[in-house]
Amino acid sequence: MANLNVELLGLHFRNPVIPAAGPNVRDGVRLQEVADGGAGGLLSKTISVDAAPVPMPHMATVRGGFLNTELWSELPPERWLSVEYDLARQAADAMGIPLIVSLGYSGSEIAQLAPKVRPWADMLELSTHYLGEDPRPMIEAIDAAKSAVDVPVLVKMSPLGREMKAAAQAAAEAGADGISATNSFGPAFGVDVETGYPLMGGKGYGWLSGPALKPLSLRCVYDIAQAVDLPIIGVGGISSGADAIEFIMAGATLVGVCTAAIMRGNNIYGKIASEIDVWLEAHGYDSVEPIRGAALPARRVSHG
Amino acid sequence: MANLRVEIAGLSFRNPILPGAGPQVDNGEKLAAVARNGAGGLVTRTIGFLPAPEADSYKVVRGGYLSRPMWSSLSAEQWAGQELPLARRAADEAGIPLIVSVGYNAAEVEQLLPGLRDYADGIELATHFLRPNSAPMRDPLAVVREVSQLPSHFLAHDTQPLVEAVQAAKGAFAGPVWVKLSPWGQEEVLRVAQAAVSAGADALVATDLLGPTLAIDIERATSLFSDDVYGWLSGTSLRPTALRVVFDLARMFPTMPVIGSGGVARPDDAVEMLMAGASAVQMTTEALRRGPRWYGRLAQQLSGWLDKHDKADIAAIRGQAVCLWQTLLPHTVSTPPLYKKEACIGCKLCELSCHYHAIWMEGMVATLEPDLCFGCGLCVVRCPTDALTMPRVQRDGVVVNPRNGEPLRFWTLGLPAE
Repeated sequence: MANLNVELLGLHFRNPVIPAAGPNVRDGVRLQEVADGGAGGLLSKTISVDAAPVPMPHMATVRGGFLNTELWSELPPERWLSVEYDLARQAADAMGIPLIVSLGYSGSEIAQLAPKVRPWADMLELSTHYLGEDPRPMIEAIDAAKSAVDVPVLVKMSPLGREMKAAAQAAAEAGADGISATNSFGPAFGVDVETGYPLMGGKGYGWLSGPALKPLSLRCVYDIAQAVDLPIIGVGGISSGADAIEFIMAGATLVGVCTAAIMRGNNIYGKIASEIDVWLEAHGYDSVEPIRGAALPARRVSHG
Repeated sequence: MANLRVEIAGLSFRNPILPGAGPQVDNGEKLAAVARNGAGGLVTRTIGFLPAPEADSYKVVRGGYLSRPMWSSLSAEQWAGQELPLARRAADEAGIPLIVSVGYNAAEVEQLLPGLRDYADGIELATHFLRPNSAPMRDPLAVVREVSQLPSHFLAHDTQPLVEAVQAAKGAFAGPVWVKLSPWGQEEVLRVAQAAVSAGADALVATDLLGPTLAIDIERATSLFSDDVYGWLSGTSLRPTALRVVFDLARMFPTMPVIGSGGVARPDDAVEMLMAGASAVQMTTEALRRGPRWYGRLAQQLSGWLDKHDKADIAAIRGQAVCLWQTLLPHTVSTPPLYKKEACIGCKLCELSCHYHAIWMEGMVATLEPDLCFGCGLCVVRCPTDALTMPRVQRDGVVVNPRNGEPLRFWTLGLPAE
């Protein structure tokens, strides 16, 4: 058995596989299931100052991937503060794992929410809708969180093109303690060919996740790891230990899983963790550390 | 038998399944094979001002392919002297149009077209290697390197190189000019498309590869590519993004033909592109995997699909998703699925898909608790038969069964102010 423990910003994760924000962590009961399913740490669904007006329908499988237009938590923040975070915290404490609380979106919204969620949060993750043009809203969000609370602050980034490195640098300069990469990619579109209707409600668009997103999010992690000296949570299409190892080799400290959990249930976290374990063992590694960043040019070393 | 013929910017194609500019059409012989095997028309690999440098070939990743974007490594002289005459003969024998793909900037296109245009019924303008420099390329590798450093949205911020290239093509060629677009950035794609249309483009091809992307060989801890770490994504994984571009273009330019390109592998994929607003589709990666016979196969299967769905021709489905989207009321209220017991095979996928514990199997019968249903639609999409159907809400206040258009009830929760 390899040692799967990972330290991230002073917090101890029992393995590198955590949930990424989505319906898989939509309330306290689900977070309890995620903890029972073997996740290395917990992350609660992104909340904002109001409950999300989620368009219907808003989730669909497409070949090679998954479309959603879930926005953020459909529960109002009051509900999280009165019920769900307590349950999530209990689940985390029972397993001895950290709880990351995800918040969105603007500086003023985060300034309101961050102090309120602080009693339950070991770390914050900010969702900012930053798409690579004007970094100011992202910087304001980071500022707001950093001045409101004393816990580490991660920024979740959308997949960008060649601007990914500059975006990560902007986040680092603004004071982010770590980066989650990436959000789903979009907009994307799909049609139910048997009826001719768009699969998604609302504006008809969905955001792409699952295996189809992986080559893009993996490249973003690889770029970010070379641009900034911050820990990274790699997210995007991870559904196996081999997928997770790709992200770790590209520089990720932890990996986030959402779509695979929607499709295959909450035992996926522990399953991916055990697949990482088997791979490490088979390759003669006793922990995750030696392979982290192994595919990066600066650290390229010979393995096997 | 459904009629598969489509007209695009003055050219008539025997069916809407075309090759995309890629390695499967990079000489006359391969183009002849594509024509013989039933493609609706021919599109050549992109011919550049100078032959392209050698690049790593396609790498398979789950749900797609990664490759290095590249133009033909054959010279324009060889294309004019040997390959295009062969392709022209094959196109004439099959009675289909030949589209010659050329790249990239105005100076290059201007000098290329006089030698190539006599063979072409249409020109497709490739845009991937457009760059600020307006001089013809002198060192292909230097161009590849220069473009790999440009911002992903370079063309959206500076449309001049594209505008000049389209104008050069229109000036040197009397027939239709198609312009191929990159999928990066929703607004950015539309800005580039607008520039192409204003400059005189006759049709838009959506989309080119998505990138840069990466895949790592974990046994060697390096990228799958040896010459440059990045690859560009095509195949199934590109399809939802390409479909979005087609859907956007079809609404923004209702009279402009769009050729959908990206992950078309099966008849359903072609149907989906056509429903999203495309007039035809291009297929590259699946044909690389399956060989040229896949063009005719797909055309045949498309014909079968249309027959099975009682559609007489392509026009009967083209843009259908756009039309239906226009009838829909965006809403945030759950409309629990309709259940047809006779079609249920008891597979339990609905129960496994439901994160709200609103649907479960009791024996061979699904039980739905409407109050628990969030309305996400996942059980409906994952149902392998037509046992589950998501009602859709129209702007006129009628809740319909989308499978047959039958009204189910009136929406009582308020309509948008018009």
